[in-house]
Amino acid sequence: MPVDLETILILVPEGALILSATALFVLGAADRRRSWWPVCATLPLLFALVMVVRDWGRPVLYSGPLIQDATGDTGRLLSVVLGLVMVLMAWRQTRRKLATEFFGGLLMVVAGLMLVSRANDLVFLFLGTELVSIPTYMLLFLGKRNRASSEATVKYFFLSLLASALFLYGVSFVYGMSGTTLLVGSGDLLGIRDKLPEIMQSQIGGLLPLGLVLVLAGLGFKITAVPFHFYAPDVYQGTTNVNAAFLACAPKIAGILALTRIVVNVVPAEFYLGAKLVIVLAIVTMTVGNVCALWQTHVRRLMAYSSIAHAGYLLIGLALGLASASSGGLHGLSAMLFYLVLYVVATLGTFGAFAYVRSRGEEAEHLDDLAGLSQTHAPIAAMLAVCMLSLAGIPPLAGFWGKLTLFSGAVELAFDMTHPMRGWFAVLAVAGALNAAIAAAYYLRVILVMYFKPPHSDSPVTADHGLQTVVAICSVLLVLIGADPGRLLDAIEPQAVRARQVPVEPELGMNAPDGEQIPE
Amino acid sequence: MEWLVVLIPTLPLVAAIVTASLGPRVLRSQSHLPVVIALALSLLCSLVLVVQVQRGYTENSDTGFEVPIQLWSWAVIEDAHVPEISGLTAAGKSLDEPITRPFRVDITLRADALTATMLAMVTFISTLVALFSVGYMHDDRGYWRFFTYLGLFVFSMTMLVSVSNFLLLFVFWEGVGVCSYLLIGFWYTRPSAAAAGKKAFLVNRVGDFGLIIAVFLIWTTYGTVNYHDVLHTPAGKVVVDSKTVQEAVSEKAAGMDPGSTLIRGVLGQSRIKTNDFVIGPDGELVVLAICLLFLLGACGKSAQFPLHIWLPDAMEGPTPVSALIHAATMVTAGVYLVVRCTPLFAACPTAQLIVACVGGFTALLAAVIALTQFDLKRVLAYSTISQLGYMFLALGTGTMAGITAGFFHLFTHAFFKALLFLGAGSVMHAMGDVIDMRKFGGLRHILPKTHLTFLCGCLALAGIPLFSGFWSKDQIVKAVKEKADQLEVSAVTLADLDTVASAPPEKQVFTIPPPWSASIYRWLHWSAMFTALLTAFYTFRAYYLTFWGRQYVPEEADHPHEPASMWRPLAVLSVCALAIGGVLEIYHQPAGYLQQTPSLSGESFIPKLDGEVALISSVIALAGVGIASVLYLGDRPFVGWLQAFFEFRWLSRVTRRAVYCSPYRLSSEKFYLDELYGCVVIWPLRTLANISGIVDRWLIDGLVNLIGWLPRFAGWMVRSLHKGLLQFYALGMVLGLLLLVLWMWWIR
Amino acid sequence: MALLGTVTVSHYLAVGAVLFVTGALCMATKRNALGVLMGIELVLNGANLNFVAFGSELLRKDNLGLDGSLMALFVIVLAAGEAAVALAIALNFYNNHMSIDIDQADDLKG
Repeated sequence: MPVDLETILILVPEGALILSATALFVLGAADRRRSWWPVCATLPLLFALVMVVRDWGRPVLYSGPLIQDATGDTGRLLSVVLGLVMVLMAWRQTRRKLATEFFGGLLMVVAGLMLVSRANDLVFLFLGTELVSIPTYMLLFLGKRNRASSEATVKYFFLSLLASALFLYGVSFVYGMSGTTLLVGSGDLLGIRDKLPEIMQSQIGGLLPLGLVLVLAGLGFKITAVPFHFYAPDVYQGTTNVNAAFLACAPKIAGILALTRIVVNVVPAEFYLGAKLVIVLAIVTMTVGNVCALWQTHVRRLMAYSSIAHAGYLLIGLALGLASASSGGLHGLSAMLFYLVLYVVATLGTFGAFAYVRSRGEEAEHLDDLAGLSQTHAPIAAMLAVCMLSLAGIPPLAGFWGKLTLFSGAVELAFDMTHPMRGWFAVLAVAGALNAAIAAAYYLRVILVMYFKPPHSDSPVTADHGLQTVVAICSVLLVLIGADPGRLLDAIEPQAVRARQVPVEPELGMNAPDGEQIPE
Repeated sequence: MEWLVVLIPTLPLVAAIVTASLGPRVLRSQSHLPVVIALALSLLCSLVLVVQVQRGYTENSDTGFEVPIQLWSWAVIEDAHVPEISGLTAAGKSLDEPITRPFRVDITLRADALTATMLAMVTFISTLVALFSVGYMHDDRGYWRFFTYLGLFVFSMTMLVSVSNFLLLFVFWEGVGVCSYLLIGFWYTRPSAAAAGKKAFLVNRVGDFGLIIAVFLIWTTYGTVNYHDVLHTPAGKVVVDSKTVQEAVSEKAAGMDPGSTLIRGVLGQSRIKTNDFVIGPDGELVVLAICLLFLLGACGKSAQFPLHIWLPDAMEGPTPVSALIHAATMVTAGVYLVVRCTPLFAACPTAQLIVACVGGFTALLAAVIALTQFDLKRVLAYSTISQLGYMFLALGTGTMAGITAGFFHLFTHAFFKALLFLGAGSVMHAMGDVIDMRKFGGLRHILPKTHLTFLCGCLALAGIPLFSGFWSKDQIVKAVKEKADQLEVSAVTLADLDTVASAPPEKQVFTIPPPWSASIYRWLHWSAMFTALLTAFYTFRAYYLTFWGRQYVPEEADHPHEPASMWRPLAVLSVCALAIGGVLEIYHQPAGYLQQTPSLSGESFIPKLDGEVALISSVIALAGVGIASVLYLGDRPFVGWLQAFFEFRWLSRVTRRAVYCSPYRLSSEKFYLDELYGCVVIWPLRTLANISGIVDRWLIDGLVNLIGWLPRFAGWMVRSLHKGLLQFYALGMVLGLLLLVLWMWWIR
Repeated sequence: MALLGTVTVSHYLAVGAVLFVTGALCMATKRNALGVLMGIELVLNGANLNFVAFGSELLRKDNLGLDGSLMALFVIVLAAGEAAVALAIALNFYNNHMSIDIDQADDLKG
């Protein structure tokens, strides 16, 4: 498959990030002056941001292993913004000697996320996820070097590797059944979905669902779905708050984007088997996450289980997308992306606040470290409370609307008398509502500790304006989106609609000279 | 005129806000300034308004005079009205009245004679009371708080009488209730004050419940909650100006089609003209229900039997509050409501009879109780209840003479009762907050100014000829008598014609036959005259006990004094109490002026002094005063003996229990009504509450705790899976995957 | 050759599956970090074998081309890279725990 200049050109932001990262690694060895490096990391990210915004909403473009479409646009923008926020959070939190490695790794991860969000080839998808994973091992390792940290690194490394292997094993089956790794075909190049009917007829076609389940397992690790979630609590606990924020967001974005891509472009419409599977996963995941979080006293471990529970909520959207090819499914997918954005914002704000609070010279670890925060640092306590309430889905805030859109999608299908899976979705909606109620208990406990427990004698904070800014931005965003959720949802909804339209004809002439033009 | 009506309530509100915000820090001991100034200005505006309404009527006197003033729209629900409920008929419609219509609540005020009179009275009394309070409350810690509440109350009360919408009426009905609650419990550290506030509020809730149901019924029956007519022009404009509306109606009648639609107000001129109050098949029953529910609301606010029990307890509040809210203004809201809804009551004679019975019975009951009370303020409180009963009795006649008499009495009563309460306040202030008449006596030399002004109030209340109470009470008695006469005549006529058989059957169900009602009114007439005797007696009993006899003061009174800020308002009020009734009577003002209100402009009449009734009233009043003088003026030789007689002491050899149901005990223990309510209402409710509490605490909470415990238990179970062992995690992932695959294989 | 003639893609898949299961069991049972790493390599190679088998002419003659072999190459590169990272991580682990028995890493749990 020839790759021409156009393909290279649309890869410019990713390329710039990777080149900058390499430059950071190399130059970092020469000069370890701390104040410079965050700026050096910010510049390529800003460049990428400009490029992404420039490319925003361009017509669907098929280009071999790459695809330029709505999911890609959303994912790229989210990735770059995440990168910028992480730089801001880590500005003064990284150790001086390791700054270049940290920021270089960060740029790599962002580039990987961007590749995942627009991959049109399973090989490419795999490479993208690995580009997210491998620098992440390094970042974990760089955070701090103590017993807990090394344990966390080992666990994350081996389990992540196992997940990659599962993913690969699944991809091998998909490849074997369809004979291609291309997701969306064009012209005479057929994609996986084009070959599906033929595969399902064949003798060993039964292996395709096996492959898809394995792929789901590999990506389920990324989004911490049960039973692939085991690493999350241990790893979050063992690393720093900034790293935990990163771990809670980056792999989840990668996983959700890849799943969206596969659901939109690969699996057949109304794939009930997959929907049933995902519904079971969703219910188990949110329940396990929430009930375990009830027992936690360590803030990062608490947030890890919370993150698992939110993965369960996100899977609701995936189930909707699998079960319905009509507007309900699109609604589900866009609700999932909407929820992802809200989750990322609230999580970054929460971990930012945790990183901001110091207790006895160490980072905040236990819930008791937050005691009386409302008296010692009222603004940060209030902002953390906003994040918590949003995660809990308390009405005026953004998180409520996220849950509402997801649950209402499930309820809609549950009341759709003609839908064959309405019983499943009814159970899912009830389970979701019950879980939201359970979840409120531990989020409110954090607020309880902050507001109703007497403060420790010493609870100084880091005078870190970067963290302050991040927490402030996140909490204000949550309030603003809560006040006007329609604006963001409207921006995401047509993206999902657009993503459904499979491009047939490459606009920038590729192999196929003629074909139908899909009007945008 | 529009801005006057808006300004009158706004000024006290602004003053209340200013006092609330600046009072505690800036104004401190000058906190009364904003409120006093605002009230004075409001009074000025009200007086101007009274004159302007008169002038407006003179210019346009065919149908009465009203000016609705629409400010803004509070709430609109489009297409709310359903025709099945309303039973709107085509009959009597002059303009196409839309069946489906928006439920809209506009903030609309109105100016008419009734409102203007009420406004003038309310602002006048409030101004004087505010001035009095400057002296009375000067050392209180909650000085600014008092004036804030006062401003808020005057705002609510003025709005209550000037809104042109039943829903807004309800809003401000509650508003005055809240202010009353706050002011009764003003000294909230006293348990008795807090309890009294709570009691007043709860008892009023019963009445408010009736009122809001009545408003619902009005909406479903008439399809609007406005008093006034509203014209929707084709251009989408909303016109409330009565002249324009009437022009549109007559244009339509003349065959021209202006294209407008009319929504007739409940008390609007179009409806009054066609007398279209009974609507639909069950119309009479509905109107009766509305009237009785209104009466329930009025009974709550105006302390009529059986909801009168809160008013005596409300005397726990500061005395100026008792004077303003619980004697002169707020308690007359019920009377105002009934007067306002006169056309509705006129459509339902049974309701009128019930109003009269409630009023007459309450008047007698409260007067009997007042005979034996020793708390000066409580005597006055029961006297207030009794006088309000008089007003309801008058309104219950349903004749224009009765209604104007009732309203006239409301007006004069406001002045002399405020005077009496403020006088009692002055006594209380001097006696160091002691109000039990057994603990002081012969104060006429210590408090000469209070003594004189209090005497004026007593003369007016007792109905001594030529003082204001005499004129209004006389009119009431006369109106009841005329009503009885009139009914007797018609009963005779009806019996002759034998119309009972030919009357439509549904009329018989809700209408009490004239011979019966005639005799009821006759009884009410006798009872009213007997009550007048009791009134004169207990008024002067209280007066003599306080100001005559041996001079002694309680220990709490360290320096009895009468500051100028307190006796000057008293002086103004006593002039009013002496003269206002007579002046108005001579010019026949109350009746004539009130009839400028469209809803009261039915039959035109000029009240005349009936020589016979006036003579009997005078004799009765003087007799009451005479008995009181004989008993209490000198050394009071007979008092103890009489008390022992009426307490059935002479029966105590036979049975000791007789004492408890003796007339004296019944009166002094308020007919055991509080105890009765305690047994019948409060105890069962409290028991039910306790049982519910136990069920809630043990059963429901137990269940909830169990439910709350389940996730924690599940968490504890699942948590044990996270052993922290990498190999186990890997195994878990692979086994989980295996389970998923197997399950999928199974369900496909 | 007769034996080879009967070898189909299914046989390769079976071997791949055996590798996969062996690798998973190896991960679950080995205490040593390097042993666990070897287990993972086995799983990866199971997948690799699948890729090569599916990409071969055994399955169908027409169009599978080089995608499978290419993927296998990528996986080998990945495995090499991860071995390097694994060594660094194991070293760090040894610094903190004085051992590379990863069943000692159970401080974080619950």
